[in-house]
Amino acid sequence: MDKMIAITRPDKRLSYSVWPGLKSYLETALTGTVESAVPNASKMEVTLIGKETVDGHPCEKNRVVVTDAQGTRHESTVWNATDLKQFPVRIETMSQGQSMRLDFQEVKLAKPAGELFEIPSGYTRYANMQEMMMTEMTKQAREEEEPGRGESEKSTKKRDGRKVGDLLKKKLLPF
Amino acid sequence: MVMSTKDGTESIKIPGKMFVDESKTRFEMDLAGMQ
Repeated sequence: MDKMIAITRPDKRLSYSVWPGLKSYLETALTGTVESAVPNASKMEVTLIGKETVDGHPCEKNRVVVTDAQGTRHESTVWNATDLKQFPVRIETMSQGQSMRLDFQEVKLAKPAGELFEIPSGYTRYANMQEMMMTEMTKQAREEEEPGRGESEKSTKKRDGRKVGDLLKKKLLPF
Repeated sequence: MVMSTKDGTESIKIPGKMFVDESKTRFEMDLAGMQ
């Protein structure tokens, strides 16, 4: 469980949380503000507030206010790199007392492969996180009962489980 | 990319990769590298 992939598919009105280490995924319907994040359903106002350099890129610093279909305003500060076709190399948002910053490095302006937005074949779909964790923990418990299993692998799983728990508490995972 | 969050005095940094194709997004979080 050292990797989690969040895929958003507004065209299907779905999002996926994919756990490659478990060959499992959760499927969630996009509703409310997430669904209204589809560009056509939102209104966006951009105001230039300065010029700064981020990670060596000359940037226009903009205040961006997106108003979704429900009329809710989402405000961010965005640094658009003028040498990367205005790519937002840094995005800062504040929501419910929690600040979040995204810093992008090694930006490639190329179309990603289509399969990156699909679930790999052979993965098990779960209805919710509780069902997935219960099933997978039961599987792991059975495996750990087998003789010859290494202690280092057990401790890695426990550590990663704590990290997932921290992310769930902070609502950083999309379920 | 690195996602940093701060909630009061607690902060978390998660390294990862992001791919975007029009409205489709994919965010790979490296939980092992989380600080």
